[in-house]
Amino acid sequence: MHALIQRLWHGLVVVAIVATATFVLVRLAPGDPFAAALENARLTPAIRAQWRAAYGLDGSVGTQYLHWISSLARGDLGFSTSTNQPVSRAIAQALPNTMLLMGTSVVIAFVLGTMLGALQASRRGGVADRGIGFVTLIGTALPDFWLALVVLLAGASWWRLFPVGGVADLLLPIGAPWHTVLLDHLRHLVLPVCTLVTLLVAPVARLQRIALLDRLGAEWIRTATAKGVAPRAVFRRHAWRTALGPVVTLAGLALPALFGGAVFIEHVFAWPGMGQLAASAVAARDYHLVVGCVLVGTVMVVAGSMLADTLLERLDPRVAHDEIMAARSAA
Amino acid sequence: MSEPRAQRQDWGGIMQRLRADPRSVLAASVLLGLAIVVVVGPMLLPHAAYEQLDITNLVHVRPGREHLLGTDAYSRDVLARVVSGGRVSLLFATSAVLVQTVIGIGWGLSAGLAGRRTETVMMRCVDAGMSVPRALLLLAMLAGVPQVPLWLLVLMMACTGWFVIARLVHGEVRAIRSAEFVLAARALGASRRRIALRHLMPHVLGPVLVSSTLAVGQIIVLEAGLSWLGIGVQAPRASWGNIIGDGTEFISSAPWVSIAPGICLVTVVLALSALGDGLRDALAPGQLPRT
Amino acid sequence: MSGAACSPKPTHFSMPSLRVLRLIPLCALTACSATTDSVPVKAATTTGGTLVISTPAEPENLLPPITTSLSGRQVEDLIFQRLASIGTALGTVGDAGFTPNLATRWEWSPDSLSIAFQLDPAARWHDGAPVRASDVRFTFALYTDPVVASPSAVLLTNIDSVSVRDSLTAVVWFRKRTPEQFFDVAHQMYILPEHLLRTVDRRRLAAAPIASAPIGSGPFRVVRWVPRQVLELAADTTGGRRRAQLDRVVFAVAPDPVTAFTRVATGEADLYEAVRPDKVAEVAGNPQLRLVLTPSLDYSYLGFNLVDPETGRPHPVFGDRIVRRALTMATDRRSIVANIYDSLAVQARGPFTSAQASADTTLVPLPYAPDSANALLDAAGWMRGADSVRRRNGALLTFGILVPSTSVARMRAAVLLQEQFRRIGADVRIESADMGGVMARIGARRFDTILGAWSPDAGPASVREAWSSPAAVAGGNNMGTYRSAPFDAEVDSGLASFAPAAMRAHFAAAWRIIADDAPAIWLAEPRRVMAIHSRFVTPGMRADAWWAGLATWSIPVDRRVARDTAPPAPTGASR
Repeated sequence: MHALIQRLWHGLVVVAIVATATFVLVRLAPGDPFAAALENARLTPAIRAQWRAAYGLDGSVGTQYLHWISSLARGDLGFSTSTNQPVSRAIAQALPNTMLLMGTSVVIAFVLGTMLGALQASRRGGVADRGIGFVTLIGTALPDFWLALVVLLAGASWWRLFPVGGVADLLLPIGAPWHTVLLDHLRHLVLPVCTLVTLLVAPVARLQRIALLDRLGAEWIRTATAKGVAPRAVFRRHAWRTALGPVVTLAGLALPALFGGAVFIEHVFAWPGMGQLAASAVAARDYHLVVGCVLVGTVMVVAGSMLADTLLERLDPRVAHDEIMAARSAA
Repeated sequence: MSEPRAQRQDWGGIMQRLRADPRSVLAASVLLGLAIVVVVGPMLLPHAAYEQLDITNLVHVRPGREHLLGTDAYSRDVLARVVSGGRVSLLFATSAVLVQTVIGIGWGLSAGLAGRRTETVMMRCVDAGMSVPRALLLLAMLAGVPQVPLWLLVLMMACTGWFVIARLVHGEVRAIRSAEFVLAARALGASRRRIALRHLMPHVLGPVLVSSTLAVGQIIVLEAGLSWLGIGVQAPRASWGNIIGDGTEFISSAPWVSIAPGICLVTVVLALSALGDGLRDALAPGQLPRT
Repeated sequence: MSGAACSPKPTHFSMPSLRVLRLIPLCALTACSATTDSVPVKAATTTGGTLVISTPAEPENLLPPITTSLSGRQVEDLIFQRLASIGTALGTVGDAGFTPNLATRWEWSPDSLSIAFQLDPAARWHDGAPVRASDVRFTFALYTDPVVASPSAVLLTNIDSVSVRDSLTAVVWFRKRTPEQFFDVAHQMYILPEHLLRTVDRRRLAAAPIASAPIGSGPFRVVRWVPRQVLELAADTTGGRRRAQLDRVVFAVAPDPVTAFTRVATGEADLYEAVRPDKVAEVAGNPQLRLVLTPSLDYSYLGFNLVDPETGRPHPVFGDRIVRRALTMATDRRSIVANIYDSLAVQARGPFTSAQASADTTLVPLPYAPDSANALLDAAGWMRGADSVRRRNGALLTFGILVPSTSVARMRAAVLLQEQFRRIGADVRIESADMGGVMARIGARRFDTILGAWSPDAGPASVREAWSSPAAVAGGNNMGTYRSAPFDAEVDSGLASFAPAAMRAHFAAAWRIIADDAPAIWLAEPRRVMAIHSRFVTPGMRADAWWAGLATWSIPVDRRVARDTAPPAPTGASR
């Protein structure tokens, strides 16, 4: 219990640090929330100053911080000037989209990566091992926006198999049957998920491979030579335990992406998620929205990692510790 | 896991093992070759990287005899830009990785050897840094500075990238700080600094090296993203990142512009990764070879 | 950049070769005529159809007094009405060319200090309430209320007040007689519903729900707006006017321009309004699409900062007129424009575009003459050093170009200019920043040169906002602090002229003065290049608003596709 309370306290500290740092960082950036129309000659600095005052965006960083804290205590995340709605509503719209995309991609990347890593470990040193390693590594080296654009053009323009970005068909009638809606969403998911999986699968596969070789290496050889048992049987018996460590560690590292989104991929695929929301908010100097996004993201990341740590310790403290150490040294 | 043992740095043995591993040798030669090309290349090539040859007639020329990798939207020779951009990208990424590794190791070691309170605060800071997507953090930082000289961009990259290393190092330190040899060193009165540098570093170096080799590729790709948004290494200086960024728009009409630096980037990442694996094996010979 | 059309003869391209485009005399596109559509398609007799516009931009809000973006203006033109519509010739002198819109007729008083507008008795707000003269009075009060701080208020300073003679007659009173007085009241205000806006907090108009779910009296009403995804409009049937031919207009948002364009290329969307030159061939080769070129009101320029921001004294480099002229002559503007826009833009001659009534298309810009430029710089004391960069009294000829990273065309222009300046011995660095960063530096005047673009109003008075002496103060938009009394005098005379010929003569003189002074290098006047699905019949395009006639766009029954016949979404704006 004491450990749980301590974790909660630590989590709060982290959230506070991130929120404050973001707040200060964004406010310090030169610019104005109402500067969107650069070519509009009539939008004078005087008008912008008046609007800033009306929305509580003037004054020193200190006073604004205090205002923000007090409204936060009331559960009010502020008004977003770039999307023209309360910040909470903007985030409520974006967060599920991000979690859908990132969640699907991460799960598929983990499953695929684990399988590939296991395949590599069992064929250690062979052609399959080298080949898979080579191909997955290329996936990590490619710039994400470039890959996203290539995948989009290939899948939607050169071969017209999938829709051109977006989360769903914009003209889908409201009362459409559930299976049409589901199929529509799935069709829109394919291309961005393919892009993300290509980028994410290599670290998972590498980690899995190393962890398996590390853990099973010594035992494997000994057992195989001593008992004459097929190495594959030993492999399978221990595989599940070994898979835990890297998965948990990487899950921890993947959490920020899960709630923070992928800025470039969302941009290219017109996916209205948290990454794009926060990035465009920074450009538009939409202070409340930036801080709101980061705050919500951090809270969820911290909650997620607390959950993961607690779960892991429940399962097997010693195994957990060992696996985490092994996994971290190989990451 | 067996009790960690004190490791001595046996440089001779390490180099020997490295040289014996064919993959590491190949990777190292590729990297060396690339380094030579980017250093010497600009002096040998006929065109300069910034030269706009003919902005109305020589735009997006296909790769051919006159221009081995074609020309870009400003009629600049792509080969010249890729070679010159290699200099900038490799230097940029290597410096950023060096700085972030130093910060990360320093932070991780200090946290591992510090008192309970300090350690907690330091590692919470690391957690805080890791919970924000790196691209977003960079965008926010770049919004604040009107025009970013190259060294400042390096610093910003490093400041957003040291968290993982710090976590890694701290984890290692935690695992071995209660080991016998460390306690013994402490009992003999060794200072924290000596313990850190002499006894802990060898254990830490392995995982850090492996993590850092992949980081070089990550940083070049991140800079490409920033250039695509218009912030990043500024014209007329070329970097693989900004060539890719400029060329992505024309991916269907002039694919050679973004593919050429992309291939270079992939090659560097593959070579560094192979080298990293080889280094790790060379540093920890007792265990089963992992490659 | 925004832009619009002046009576395009929509030109059809079935040949994919870009060379063909170069042969099309661009002057043909500048001729304004009353004919609108020359597509030889049978006019539609039944209503219906869906137009999907693919766009990277989205309005920030839909309340005209505080809307500043172009995309907001596009939507507002569809859901609100003005008192009268400007003609395709974009004439702003008197009421010539204006056609009735919300007002069916108007009567000038003998002294021209007031105009009585008779409103359409069948006009209705989208919620069914009738439009009244009191709405006009309320609208003027809202636009000019200092608490609202509307950027459009400065355009309405000549209007003294609006009174209500009876429920359908609004009388507008002016302070003095000017050529543009009718334009000011008829074009610069969208009429708003008093009964819905009366109780809204005027300090924070943008936060009001009605700013995102507006009720207007125009041919379309807002059905739903899902931010960053879709803004859907449907034809409004409450008003007595003929309803729009199309059933729906849908704005599909995709922040990346390549993605937005691809939606049109694959047929998922119908219209893309800013086709890049390298995609023109693709559009021309696609039999489903039509390429439409229209002139626009935008121009881009490299503005010099004539004043040193630190000391307030003339800028060490750009304070000298000879140096500015030399730098202008060192740049091959024609090639720069051709590189960025291919044949889809002309070289700008001054702070105006050919579509404006005040334009002088015979003005000859400073020539591209690098030899003269070098000679002038030598004569001015800037001598080349060993590294071929020029110096004077130990100071290097070095400066920065401030450019917003979000404008692809201007980023390219910056790189091209940088190289051309290098050739005459200037060491130039590119300073790119996002919009916010650029605005901050402009506000503080902390820049050497700015790669700017203006998207002015249809009226000639807009040049004052950017280039006149009163606008050169700290809060104004004359960023380079260009002050010329002769220029101001000619512009004022032009704006006070009632005869178009006199107006043009005064402006021609003004443009010659500013061209000689070279406070900026005038770069490009891009055409608007649109890709539209061939099934649409598109009358009524205008230079400042290609969407002006959208209510009359239609689709012949035999050309309709699946989304044209789908049932429209239920009513009720949701957000």
